[in-house]
Amino acid sequence: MIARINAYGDSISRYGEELCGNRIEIVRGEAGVTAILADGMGGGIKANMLASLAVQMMSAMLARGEPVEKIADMIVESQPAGPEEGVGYSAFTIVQAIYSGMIFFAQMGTPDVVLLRRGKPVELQTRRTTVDGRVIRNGVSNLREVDTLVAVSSGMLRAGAGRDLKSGWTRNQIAVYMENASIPRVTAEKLARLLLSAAKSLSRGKPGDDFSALVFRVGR
Amino acid sequence: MAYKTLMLQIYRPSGHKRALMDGALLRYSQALQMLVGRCEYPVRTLAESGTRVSQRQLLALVDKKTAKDLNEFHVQPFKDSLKMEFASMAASYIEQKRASPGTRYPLAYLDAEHYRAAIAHSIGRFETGEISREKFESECRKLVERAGKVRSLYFGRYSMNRDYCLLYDEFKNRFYAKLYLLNAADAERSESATSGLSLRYVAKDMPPMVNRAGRRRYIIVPLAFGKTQLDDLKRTLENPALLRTARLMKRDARYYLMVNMTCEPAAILPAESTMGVSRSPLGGLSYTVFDLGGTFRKQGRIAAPEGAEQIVYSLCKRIVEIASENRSQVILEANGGRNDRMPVPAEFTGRCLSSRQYVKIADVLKYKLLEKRLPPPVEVSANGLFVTCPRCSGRTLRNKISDELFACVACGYASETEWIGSENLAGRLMKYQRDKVPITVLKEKDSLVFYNKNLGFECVLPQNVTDYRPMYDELGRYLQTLDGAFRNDSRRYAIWKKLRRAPDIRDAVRLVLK
Repeated sequence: MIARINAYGDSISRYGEELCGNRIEIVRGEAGVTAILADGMGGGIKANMLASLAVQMMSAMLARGEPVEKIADMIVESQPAGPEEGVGYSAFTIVQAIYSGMIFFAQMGTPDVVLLRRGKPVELQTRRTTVDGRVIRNGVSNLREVDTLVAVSSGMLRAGAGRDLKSGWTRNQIAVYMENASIPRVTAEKLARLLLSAAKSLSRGKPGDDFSALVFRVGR
Repeated sequence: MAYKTLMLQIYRPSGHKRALMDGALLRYSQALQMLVGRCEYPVRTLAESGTRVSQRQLLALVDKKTAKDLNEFHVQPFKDSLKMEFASMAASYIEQKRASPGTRYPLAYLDAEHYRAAIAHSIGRFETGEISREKFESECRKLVERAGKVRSLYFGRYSMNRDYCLLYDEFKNRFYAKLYLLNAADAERSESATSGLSLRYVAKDMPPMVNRAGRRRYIIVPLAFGKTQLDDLKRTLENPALLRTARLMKRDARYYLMVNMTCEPAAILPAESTMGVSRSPLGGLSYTVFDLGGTFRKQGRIAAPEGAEQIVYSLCKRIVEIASENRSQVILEANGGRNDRMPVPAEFTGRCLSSRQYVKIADVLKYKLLEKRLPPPVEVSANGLFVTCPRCSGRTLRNKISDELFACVACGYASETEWIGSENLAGRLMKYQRDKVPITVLKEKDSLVFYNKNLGFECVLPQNVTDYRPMYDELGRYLQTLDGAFRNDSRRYAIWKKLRRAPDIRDAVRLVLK
């Protein structure tokens, strides 16, 4: 049994945009905590609406007690356009951590989540399914104390684009950064804010895309 | 006091003047070798004694008889110079000998006779197997290089009537040098040394040079130089005291006068920005310029020129240019940047500036910046410079994500590692200004003890008080009593000064509960 699940997510809009194309929703229930990071493709109001739609669907289905996999399938099926049309869909990451000591996640179009166990990144096994021509990655893992799970939007990986970095700001770099920042008493909020701050810093204070970070941290 | 050397070419000297200069150089070298050779035993003894050797002791080695024997070389005009150069060589030898006992005794000039003897000696050692073939070849090469090579002639003072001085023709806007090369016996009779010229001494009140009939011990030669040297020489017209010693030297059949001059202390312009210059992990230097409010202004890399002999000087030149453009206070890493934790990518190993080169850059900038009326560079601690956050000053190795990426685990600041060093340096003075002086608060049974060990300050208040004003008042009075007490202790003096200058002492103090 897990005593406490600390979850936090936040977004930064693209420079000059008022509406953010990413949405994060965290729902706390008796069984556990579920969160969605929805990343509307493109930008502006259209991306914002797509992300909002995905978030609303998740909230509604979660209230009916649907499992994460099914929620993911439904979100993909409800997307207004197919992959060939390019921008008319919303990528997402859904994470569900339950107090019994399990974590479920489903992803479509977003970078792989990072799981830190005892402060070190570990590989997560995923199962791929295809719905309406789009690949959904589902995964499940047991949870241990002081585990940290980090999910980011795809825009986050483009934060270092204008920098003179050979390896760039990749998922691996994010994993190393989170590993370095994961001291025993750090909160999910602190880690998410650090990630967003680092991305904003790398884009010299003028983000070229919407940045989002969602962090789950299991407490004692 | 900073000095610089002007390299002035002696412009197309006549055959006769060339012969006189060649003769003077040869006689000077031979005389110096005679001095060095004759004093070998006492100098070696001094080196082995281990005691501190003064310049006066070394000069005293040249006794009256030796000084008289120097006259055989007709070097009466250079006697003082010879003594000074001998003392300098001997002091240098003694210091080196004590540091590394294998140091050889100096050789000022190798004439044909000694050259033959030295070669024969080397051959003998090689034949008996005393030295290896490589060592034999190395010795012979050195001997061949040094054989007949004359030393530069040292002029120990700037004077109108002896050694050397400069002359100026204001109508032609040209400079000339007057060099005393001959003794009274060898002086030559000539009609006029300055025909067609209107020469004035570069000396106080610029007296004209008058042609007097009689024998002359000097020659007058025109000088050729570039625009920078012309500017420097023009400054000596206003202040001739800037001119110091000089050396006459011959290189590639050309003659040069190397004049040492004092860098005139000009009024320093107030800095409008700070410029941090650190070593770069990608080779060369990185710089960042902040304005005085800490706002980013400019950033860049100064690449070390490939294959250039004088890397240090070319880097310094560029630093000075950028500092001038931004009117910056240059801030450097102290101690050559040792322990700055600069990560070097594998492909750049060996291409980065060494600590020694960085120290040299700091030394050169100390006078180069003054020439541009910029303040001299400030050197600050480089400990962990590349793992310290420029925004929050958090210092931990965990801030290093990879060799090329830095991300602070305390505040989230991220950047390429290359700029972290220079950004930290550029903001360091502002950080020092912002930092508050800690006063430790210790809770005791029924009292609060406020103290600062550096200042030696201590104040006790009852534990139930919430108003600390009596402590601040006491601190203010205590600081007044310390006026000037820490002048010889820079660290304590800086703390004292910071508190004394603060408009409100509470804003300059930070209470630390122990």
